Amino acid sequence: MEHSTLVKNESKSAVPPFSGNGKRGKVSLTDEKIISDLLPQKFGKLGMLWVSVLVAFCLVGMFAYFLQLKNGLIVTSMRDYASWGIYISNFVFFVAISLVGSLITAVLRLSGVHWSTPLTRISEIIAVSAITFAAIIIIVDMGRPERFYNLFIYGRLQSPIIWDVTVITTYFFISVLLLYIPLLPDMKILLAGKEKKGIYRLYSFMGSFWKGTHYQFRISKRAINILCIAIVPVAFSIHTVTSWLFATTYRPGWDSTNFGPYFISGAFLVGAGGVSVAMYVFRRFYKLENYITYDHFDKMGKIVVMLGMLYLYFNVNEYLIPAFKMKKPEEGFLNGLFTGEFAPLFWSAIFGGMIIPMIILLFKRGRTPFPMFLCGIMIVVGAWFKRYLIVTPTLLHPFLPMHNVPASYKHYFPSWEEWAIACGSLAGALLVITIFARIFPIIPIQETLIEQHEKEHN
Amino acid sequence: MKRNIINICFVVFILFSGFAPFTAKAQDSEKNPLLVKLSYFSNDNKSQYLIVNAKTKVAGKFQPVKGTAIKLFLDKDSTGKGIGLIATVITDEKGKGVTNFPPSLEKIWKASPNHTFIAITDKSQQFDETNTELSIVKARITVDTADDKNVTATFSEFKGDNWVPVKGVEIKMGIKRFGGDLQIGEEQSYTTDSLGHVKGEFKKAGLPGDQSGNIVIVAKVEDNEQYGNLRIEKVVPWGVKFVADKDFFHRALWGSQFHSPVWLVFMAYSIIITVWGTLIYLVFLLIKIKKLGQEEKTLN
Repeated sequence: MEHSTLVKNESKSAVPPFSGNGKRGKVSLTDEKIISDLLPQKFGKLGMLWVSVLVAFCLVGMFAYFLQLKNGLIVTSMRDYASWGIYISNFVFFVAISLVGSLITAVLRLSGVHWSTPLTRISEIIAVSAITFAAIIIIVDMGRPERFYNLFIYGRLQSPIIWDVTVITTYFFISVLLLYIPLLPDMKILLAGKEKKGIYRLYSFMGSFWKGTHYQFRISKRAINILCIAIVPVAFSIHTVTSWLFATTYRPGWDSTNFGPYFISGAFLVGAGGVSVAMYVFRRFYKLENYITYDHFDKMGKIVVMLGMLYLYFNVNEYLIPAFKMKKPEEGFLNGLFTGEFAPLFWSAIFGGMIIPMIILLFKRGRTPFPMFLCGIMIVVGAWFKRYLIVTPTLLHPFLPMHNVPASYKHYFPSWEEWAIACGSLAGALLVITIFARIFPIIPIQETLIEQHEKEHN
Repeated sequence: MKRNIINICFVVFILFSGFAPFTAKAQDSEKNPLLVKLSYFSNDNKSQYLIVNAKTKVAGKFQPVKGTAIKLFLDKDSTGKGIGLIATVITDEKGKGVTNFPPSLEKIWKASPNHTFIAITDKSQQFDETNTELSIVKARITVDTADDKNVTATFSEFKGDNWVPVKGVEIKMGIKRFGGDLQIGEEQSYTTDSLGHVKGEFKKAGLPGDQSGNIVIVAKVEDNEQYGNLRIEKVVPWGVKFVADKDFFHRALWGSQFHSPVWLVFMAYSIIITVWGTLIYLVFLLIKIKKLGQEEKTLN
């Protein structure tokens, strides 16, 4: 498919054809060209199909949730042993991938890295959609969601659950601000030349007050800097606290003092993998070759390798040392992972989600768009199953096994309702990102213009 | 040729239809027997009930039979049929079913010191019909305690219009705990004398009781062929008073909602106030940006 049909570039004919191949991003671009390239574009046929598929998944997920509400959690395969199933795995996955907002936007910005500018909004919208669905999926996991408010009324400050609720709310708020404030300068561009109806009203409501004055720029820059500083500890907290939900519980596989950094390193890896996939998709289907260049893939690839090595290091710590000691109560759990019923999934997650992508990305040719896309997919899928492996096998191997439980309690395979809800939530997160990219520029226009002017000036 | 095929089909049909009754009979003869066990219970000489257990032998091992409907009758008439339907119970996954006696059978129950219970199951695809009987003599246990912590249990059976002490019945005496009954003294069980008495000495000093120091003394007869299962309980203040652990209401990590440790409250609220204070400041900056834009608009 040489010419993508995901989006219709309506302004294409008004702009002179671009001769560059986007391999190194050393092409001089006019302001008009940049604006016309980066303005949101209508969905093409493929785009409509993509949205339809996502909506269909969401609807099936909602129907499954309706059944769960009607009949109770009995429709799931969760029982007395595996009381946390793929809902919680999904929750941990969403929390993990949401950390990318802080990595790309905050860490790289604070480090004075400018090449990441085109990736900031992609990573922020991934963060916002992921953290939104992390919150939703937790409520889905509750048997009586209408009692959710009790968590606030009767919550104990000593409980990691309360810490989790607090940091998720905080992180969501920061991520929304970090998405919104840098979007303000683009609002002026979006409002220019629009007819005063439909989407104009949304733009007008969100940013008609942005006049682009020097003072406004100064305040927004200060606000973004504060947000970038604030988001890093909050992002670390959110995933550390999520890890403590497990680590504060005395169970095989969770009884670890390393769980905080182990989770954070994994979160950064899956976030970077997710951004790699999004970079490829937006670049290809929104024709952003001049903005998301080979150089971006090369640098992002190196980051992924570094994060992969870090996560692998923690994995070695988490599994090798307990396996070396092989304490009797943990034996069943570890053998289940290494050679038992979870072994295929475990080794696939280790090799497919970490080692093979790292090897591919060590080579320069591996750090080009399509291999990066494939590696990103492998990392994200591997990460999802890795969360499942963190949550479920442990629950199936308690230190104090119950007596006389039905044999089915000792195994867990999600019911179709659980799969439908989990897939629906993943589709929902992708739908949020897709709709956002339809309404707002996925690459910051104003920042790209400023950087282009600076380049030309230099 | 066509005729031959029809003939062959006919012969095959006849053979199979002819064999069918034999095959069914063979299947019938392969049925495992359903074993139904009836047990009679009397608690505190007031509450009587029946427990039925259904099991069968599969691969040399007894397995409970779930979902079997068992009709239970009280006593039988001259033709051997039950005269009072107690209940129809359906066995659970452990092959067990429980029922009390309905008030409608009170007259029959009081009319005689001896009774027979009949359990009947109908023929099903898996099992043949069964008929199990259990005969009992109405009996009771009473418990007396003395200040010197001696316990006397008396066993009597109902004869004529009176309760008559029975000699030679095995009685267990214990103390009711969560996991079961703890032996009251050193003997596992006691046998009644000619007055129907057994005597046991309470030797479990320091046993935790409730907040008033009460414990429950138990006397019971188990699986007696003639009398079934009887049990009586009596509350005595021989335990150690339970004092609730007030630590739960102190400030600690395991404390209740408003008993978090001070250091945790201080740290948590400091962080929350700092972070949300910053966010409120950011919202304030946003409002400032908005005001600047509106002022600019007015100037233009």
